[in-house]
Amino acid sequence: MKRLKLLFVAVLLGSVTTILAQTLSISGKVTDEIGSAVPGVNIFIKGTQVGVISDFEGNYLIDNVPADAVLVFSFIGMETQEVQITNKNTSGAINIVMRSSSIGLDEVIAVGYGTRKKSSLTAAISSVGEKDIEKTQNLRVEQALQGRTAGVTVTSSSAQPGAGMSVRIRGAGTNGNSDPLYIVDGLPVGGIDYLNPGDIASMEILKDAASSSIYGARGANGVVLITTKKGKAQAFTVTYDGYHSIQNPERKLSLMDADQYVLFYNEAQLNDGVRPMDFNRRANTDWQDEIYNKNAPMMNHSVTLNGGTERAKISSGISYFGQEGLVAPDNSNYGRITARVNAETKSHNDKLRTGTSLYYSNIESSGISVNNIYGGPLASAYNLDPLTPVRDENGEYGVSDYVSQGITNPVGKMEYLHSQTRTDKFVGNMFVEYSILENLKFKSSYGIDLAYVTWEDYNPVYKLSPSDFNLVDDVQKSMTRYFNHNWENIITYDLDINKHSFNVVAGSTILEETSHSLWGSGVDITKTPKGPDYAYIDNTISDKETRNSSGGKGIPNRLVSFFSRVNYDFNEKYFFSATFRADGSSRFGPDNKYGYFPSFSGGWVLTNENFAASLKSVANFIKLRASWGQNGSNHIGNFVYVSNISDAGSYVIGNPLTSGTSMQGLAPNTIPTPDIRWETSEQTDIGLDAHFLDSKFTFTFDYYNKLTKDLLLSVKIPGHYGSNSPIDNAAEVRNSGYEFEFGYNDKAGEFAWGANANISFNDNEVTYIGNDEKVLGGAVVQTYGLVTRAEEGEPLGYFWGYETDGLFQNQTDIDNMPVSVNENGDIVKMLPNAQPGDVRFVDQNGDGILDDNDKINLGNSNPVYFYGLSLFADWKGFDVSVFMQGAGGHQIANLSRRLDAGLTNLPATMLNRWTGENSTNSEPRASIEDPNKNYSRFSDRYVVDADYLRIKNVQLGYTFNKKTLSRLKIEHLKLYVAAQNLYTFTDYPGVDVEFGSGTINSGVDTGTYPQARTFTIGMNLRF
Amino acid sequence: MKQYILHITMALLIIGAPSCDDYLEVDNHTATTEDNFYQTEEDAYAALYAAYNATTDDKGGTNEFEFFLNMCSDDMFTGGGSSSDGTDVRRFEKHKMLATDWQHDQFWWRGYVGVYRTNVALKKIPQIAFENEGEKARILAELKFIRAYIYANLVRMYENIPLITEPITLADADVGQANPDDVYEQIAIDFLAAIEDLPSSVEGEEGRVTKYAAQAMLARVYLFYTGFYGQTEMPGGVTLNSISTLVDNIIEESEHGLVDDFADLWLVSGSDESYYSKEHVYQIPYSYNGKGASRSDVQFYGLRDISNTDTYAAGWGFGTIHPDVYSIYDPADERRNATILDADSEVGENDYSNSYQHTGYYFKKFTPLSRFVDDPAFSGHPDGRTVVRYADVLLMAAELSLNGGTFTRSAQSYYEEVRVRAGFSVHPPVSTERVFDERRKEFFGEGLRYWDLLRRGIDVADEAISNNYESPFDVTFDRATRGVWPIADVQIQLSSSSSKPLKQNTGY
Repeated sequence: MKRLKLLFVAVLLGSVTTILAQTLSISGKVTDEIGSAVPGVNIFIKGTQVGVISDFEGNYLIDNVPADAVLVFSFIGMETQEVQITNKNTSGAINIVMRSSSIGLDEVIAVGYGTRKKSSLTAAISSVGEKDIEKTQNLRVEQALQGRTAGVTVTSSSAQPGAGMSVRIRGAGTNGNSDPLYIVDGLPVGGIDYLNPGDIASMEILKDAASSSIYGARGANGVVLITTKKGKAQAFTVTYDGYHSIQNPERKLSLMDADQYVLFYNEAQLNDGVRPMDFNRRANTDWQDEIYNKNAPMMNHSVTLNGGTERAKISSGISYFGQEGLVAPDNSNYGRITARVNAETKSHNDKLRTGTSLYYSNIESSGISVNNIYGGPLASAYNLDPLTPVRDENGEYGVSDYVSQGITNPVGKMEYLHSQTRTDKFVGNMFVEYSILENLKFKSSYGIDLAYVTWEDYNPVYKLSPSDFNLVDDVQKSMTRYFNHNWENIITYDLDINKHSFNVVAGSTILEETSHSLWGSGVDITKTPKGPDYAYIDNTISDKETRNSSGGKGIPNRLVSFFSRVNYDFNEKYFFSATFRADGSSRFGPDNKYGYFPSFSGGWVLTNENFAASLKSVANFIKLRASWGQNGSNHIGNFVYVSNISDAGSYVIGNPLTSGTSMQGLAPNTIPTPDIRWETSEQTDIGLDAHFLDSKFTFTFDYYNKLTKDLLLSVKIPGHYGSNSPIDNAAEVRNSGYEFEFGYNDKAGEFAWGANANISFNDNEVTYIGNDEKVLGGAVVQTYGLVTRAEEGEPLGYFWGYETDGLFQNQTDIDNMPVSVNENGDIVKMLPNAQPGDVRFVDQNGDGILDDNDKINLGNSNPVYFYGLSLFADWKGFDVSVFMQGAGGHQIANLSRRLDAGLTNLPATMLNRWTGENSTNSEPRASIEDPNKNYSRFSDRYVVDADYLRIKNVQLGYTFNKKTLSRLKIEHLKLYVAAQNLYTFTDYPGVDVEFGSGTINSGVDTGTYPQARTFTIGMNLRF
Repeated sequence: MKQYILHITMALLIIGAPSCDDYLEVDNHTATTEDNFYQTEEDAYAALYAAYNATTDDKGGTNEFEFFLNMCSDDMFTGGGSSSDGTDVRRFEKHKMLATDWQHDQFWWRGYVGVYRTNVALKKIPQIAFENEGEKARILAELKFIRAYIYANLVRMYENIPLITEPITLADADVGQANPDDVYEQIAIDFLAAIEDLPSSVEGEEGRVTKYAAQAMLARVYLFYTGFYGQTEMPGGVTLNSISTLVDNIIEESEHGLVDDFADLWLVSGSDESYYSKEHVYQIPYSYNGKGASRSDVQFYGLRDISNTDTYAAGWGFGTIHPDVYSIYDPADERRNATILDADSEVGENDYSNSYQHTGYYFKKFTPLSRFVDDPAFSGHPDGRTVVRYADVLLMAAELSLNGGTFTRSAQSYYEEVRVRAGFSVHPPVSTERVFDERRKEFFGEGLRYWDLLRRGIDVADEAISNNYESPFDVTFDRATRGVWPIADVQIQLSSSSSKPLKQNTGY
């Protein structure tokens, strides 16, 4: 009976509701600004989950709309619109014109452990969106950052397929690893090469301490937050992106041909007082041409599925990327397969939200030795004489008569390389978010990063020269399993009281990184036919002497952290934010396990002040920002704080000539440094964001001053410590600079155009070095010696060598060179072996002796400024974009010439040699003996300005009309052609001017890989 | 509301969950560190061998400090290939050493490596459980011996040295130089403690030290200290009486004695079996190829470009000996031909190249030998460093006895015992002067002469070392230095930022 009553009441209430709230059916059409239908727009009744999605013609129909409802129209990349239903709408038609969301102000971007509206930011964060990423064909995620925002330098360490790139945010501030911290969907990952750039929705670069100090101990080099594409509440779509490219070297070294080679070396021998030899001219080989892979293919195919409802959204995709190297197509290539799923669900009461993302990546890569002066096909191609044929009359690989020391036939070298790395990487993350109160949320997420990296190397039997041969083949394999996992718990609380609004985040994370490895090798493969296909350890001779293995567990690296942040804003006018993080790391000794990292920042939106109202017609948004904060770096190895026990020599017990045995001694290698602390970076940032003319122009400015303290480095200690140099906190580096970003977007009718530009100026200075010499040694290159170093008051890693002052033109010049008096009272010339035509090195201290005291700072590889410029225009479905990027004010040491390998081939510029008085004042006379050390003394002759401007990408595309496509049930189709690395403006003579910087030993070119000039045809298709 | 409080509490608990310091303590399972080493008896032995290793010089080059002591004494000249060969060695011979000469940095550094190894081991080994605690006590005693031996060398070379007896850390940068008396006191303490726990014999474990080695070493340091500083007692309570008792004890109690034939002591004529003889009280072993280091200075003493001999291998012609020195030996003295090589007669004038500062006389006790150099199993110089021989114990006994020490036998009998073995049957009455003459002949080239001269006072040293020879044999002792060597410039520079930078020795 009771039940019946209840039922009755319910029915009654239901009918009352129906009676009171009359409902409507609303329909209409959604178009964009130029009148094209916009399918897939999400239309729902505000405050409910009731909604529909526009169809291919942009039409929609939504029933049971309460007469006083508000309809919300939303679509990614367009401004969300709300329409109040009024009596007028009873007819039921509401047509909506969706507008592209204007740049930025309402854009919500990721900040550490949360999101924030761009207009409320008080920190220096740059954002790279999906559209920017799509504009170029990126092989790696890092490339999408290159030149896109101020303050971020991205350089490839080599253009070899799969080679890593160096990303520096606001200069380098550490002696160790200067890479930023990468967080992918909330999970810290070691590197991001496993990601398909097409899977990325946005990247945020946290540049100042206010934004990155929430990442505490790992934020000192900046943080890159990557958000992968998420499912959307929209109709199911399938997207295909694909392109095919052909690649060719953008430039090659200008080297001598056979005639020039013989001419030069004959002259050199005459100059050395030796009878010219009869060169055996077997060929005129251009080794670079021989090793280059012409029209090397590169391709990418990816399919993405996306769709869902407000309650369940899913995005998934698979992709394949393959690239052949420009050199050694069989041995320098890269292939990557990725598969991913992102799913998100929401409970019916909206209180519980869960999400899962899974990412699998399979990478196969093989590479040749790059930027390695000791052998490797590139160094050989640059140094081998042109007289040697690729193959001799017997069909064997030609052996040089004139060049030695591991510089051997690069074509043969490539054939004998069989080294491959395979990576299987699985990154997964799951979160649960529960709304305890409407404004109080708790989120817990757990992520894993599992990678198996196998490496194998087969070394066949070969003979390329008397010194480069292998008599017995061998095979080596290794496998390492990396497992990192991270558990994170966060509470978020929002509070609005009148015009005061607070946002509080507090949380903790716990992270562990572990590794296990196994390695084995065997020699003499018994299975025939011999070759890489049979290169298994099982197939090698199996006795104890020839088979080897080892394995072990890496030291776990653990990090436990607590963090909190308070954001306050008053009436969207005044903003204040404070963060605090405490990190505990297993890498430090018991007394220094914890590091504490605070930050404070504030912002003032001038344009929201009443007095600035009149400004608004010109400047619709002006914000001033300032921040200060600290973060740290724990990029040191494990167990640096204790001393390792190592081989301390042996001692014979018993008569060494008869029965005595040698006993192994073990002792601490270094004294322990239990007080070793975190590197701390302290940064101040002052910034300005301004939008003019309704955000048509945007402008951002930042000044920063970043001081990295307690830099970890090996310190020299007095001998009475009786130990090797331990690692300790012993230096300081300051990076300061200015960053400017400009944006311009405009439109006239169907023509839309715009430009984005950014430029950054950075000044890098070592402010303190904790040893007595106040100097740290850097790169050492054979025969040239120590070529880079760090010193107080100088940039980190500057080139250290002799200044030159032209050439000695005649005997008078020789007679006038500085002299000194030796201990026997004899007068000694500074350059006793100099002859006319030799280099005149400068005696800086005037003591008449040329030694290390005369070496000076010859420049450095840290760019003084770097910039990016992109221009784009759309017209009736056609779009064109040009992206350029460059840097300047820095140098590269061009040391790709081997001086110790005999009569190597030489740069063609050396033909401009000195041949008599006043013939030239730059290239010294030809000589093999080089008695004046014109070549082997590292001098400013090798240090070359590395300013460049590169046309990185040009793309021309056509997007088909939606109307046409809708008949084919296709939503979007774009075809494009593109060119990458079209041209580089530079005076640098080496193969590639783009060179890593920012460590004490960078900027030395010892024979690198050429950049690829790539032509691409591609397609984006969505249905 | 209660429910919310519960929720929040739960959430905070989860956030606070990882608050455990233990989680941040991780073990290194594959590498050995100071934290997981020093746990077993094997670890203790490995630490001991590391300390012993520091008494040898396995770094190659001319690292044997005895070689340089020979150069500083009146026994040898540099020689070498030419006037520009070994100019740094020649600065020792000429008493014009520079603080920039790399040897000083090497001796210093190598010495303190040993000090650090012993200090760490002495700190850690007591915590290791041993099946036989006596074995542990023996190891600790050996470590103390090694530390005292190293300090005794360093303090005699450089006089003003840092005294470190605990494992040093970066925070101890201001250790500074110690008063030499404090160093001598520590040497006495270490040797005396070592005597307590060291065995009297090490048969089958030769190379490890005995209590007699410690007693003899302490006597040697006592004699240097009291002589060089004009004292009657050495800090640490070592008196004439106490040291005499220790030396007498070696003679009366130990199984040490003189070998019958002096020549048997040296590999050039001895057998492999006599590497450790009853006469070797303390000998530091060398070898090569898997059995420790080759002794580097031996290569220097060898004749240049030698050919036509089965015995000698070629060396670099250093350490030439003046005819005046050759003639201190009576032709009847069996030690002469075992000590000095008369190259022209024994090898042949045309079968080797003359050295710079050529005399025709070379050092024979340690010289490159074909049987080792040509043997692929050695290919080096395994000659041991004979630190203390029983002959030295006898002559120290004679000296101490003449100074008034109490001994079982007479000074004359100790003196005669050494002379009888050298082939003499008629002996003059013993005197301190005669003991020193006998020491020079007996221990020629074994690194004792220079400090024997210094401990008799600066006038004696000056008189002996300064000569009136023509260039290039001329030598003038530098009285301003008192014979002490310069502290390496690089060490002074490296310590310059500490609150107690090292100060250079007087005269440099």
